[in-house]
Amino acid sequence: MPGVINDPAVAMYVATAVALVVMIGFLIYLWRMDRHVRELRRLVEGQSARAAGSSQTAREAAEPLKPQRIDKELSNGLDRR
Amino acid sequence: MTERLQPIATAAKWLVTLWMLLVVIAMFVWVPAYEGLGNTGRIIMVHVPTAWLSTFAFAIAAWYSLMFLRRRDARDDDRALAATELGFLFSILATVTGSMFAKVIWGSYWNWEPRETSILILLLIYGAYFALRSAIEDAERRRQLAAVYALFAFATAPLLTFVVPRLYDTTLHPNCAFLPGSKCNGITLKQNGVGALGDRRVQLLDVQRSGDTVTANVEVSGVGFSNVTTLQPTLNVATGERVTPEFPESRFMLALQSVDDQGVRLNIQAPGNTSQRGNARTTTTLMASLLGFTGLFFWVYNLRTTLLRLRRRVELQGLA
Repeated sequence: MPGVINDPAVAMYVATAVALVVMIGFLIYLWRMDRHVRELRRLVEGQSARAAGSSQTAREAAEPLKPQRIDKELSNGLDRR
Repeated sequence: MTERLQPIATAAKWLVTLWMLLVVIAMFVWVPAYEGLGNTGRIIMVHVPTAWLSTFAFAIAAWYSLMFLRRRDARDDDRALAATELGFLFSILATVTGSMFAKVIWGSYWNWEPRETSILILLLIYGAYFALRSAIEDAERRRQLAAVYALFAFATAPLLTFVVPRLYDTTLHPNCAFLPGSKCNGITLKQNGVGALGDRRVQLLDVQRSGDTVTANVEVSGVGFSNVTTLQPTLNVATGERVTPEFPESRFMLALQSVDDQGVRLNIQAPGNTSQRGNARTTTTLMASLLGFTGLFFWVYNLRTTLLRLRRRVELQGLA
């Protein structure tokens, strides 16, 4: 086996295969990491949005209805429709 | 990144993936071997792009450090940190691939050659950046000091990468020995004069003339006067033909370049074909590799920056 690997004609393909395996391994790792980071971002940003949303709702409930806020609510409602 | 750009980003990542696989195949199968060096020369397809990208990464780190000092936005600090980490990683890759090359060509992994020494100093300087960051508890103070340090560190990066190694006439680095037209002037010695070519000590013992042929008797030795031997490079002043003996335990050769009243000009010379830069396949693959590594760099940089931002956000939420 070592004799076959040391054969210059074969050695180049062995080196190519080893380099390809290393590169493919790294790229698979990178893709997996990419997917995990995307999921993590979705999770963290979802939590942040929920936290911000609930605190905003509580704040707004405590606030008296001002004319500007009534206009905003109305326009939001019209937009939704 | 907005959802609208997500498909473009995914397509770009697939492009980088396929591109890098093609580069790996090309560097082994498509690029011709360096004459004289065999297949060892193929390592430049990794060594050169990683070395260039490390300087690029340190420049990005310096830019965002400056932005942080101006805007005091923690996201700038994230970007500076991610760029420094990648610059450090690419510097290590460049050093390791360079050492592998050095082992085959110069006979040892480390030669204290100007370029090797300068990249080691650069690694120590940026290693201290991480030590500084880990030593300061207060986040705001850590960001400020790290930003100032990154700016000072980057002031040394171009100096250590591009200027210091070129101050020396003689260097073993292939910039000098391989590529035509580069500054590799060698040294001029008179009888019994001593000089250095790379990490080799050379001493001109005497010069003999026989018709048009000039032969120099040169004593050469390695680090710490190891492998002392006498080489006899020759030059035919009429035809320009040379005999260039190899240094002991190295594939580099000693060349007698010229002879005049000032003395003889000796130089270190790479074996084999010195016009690899003119080879279209080599140049194309080198540029493709540089492009691929740049794509990889931005991919990993974006991932790392996003992770740092998320970590900060989770910490803030945890505190709230």
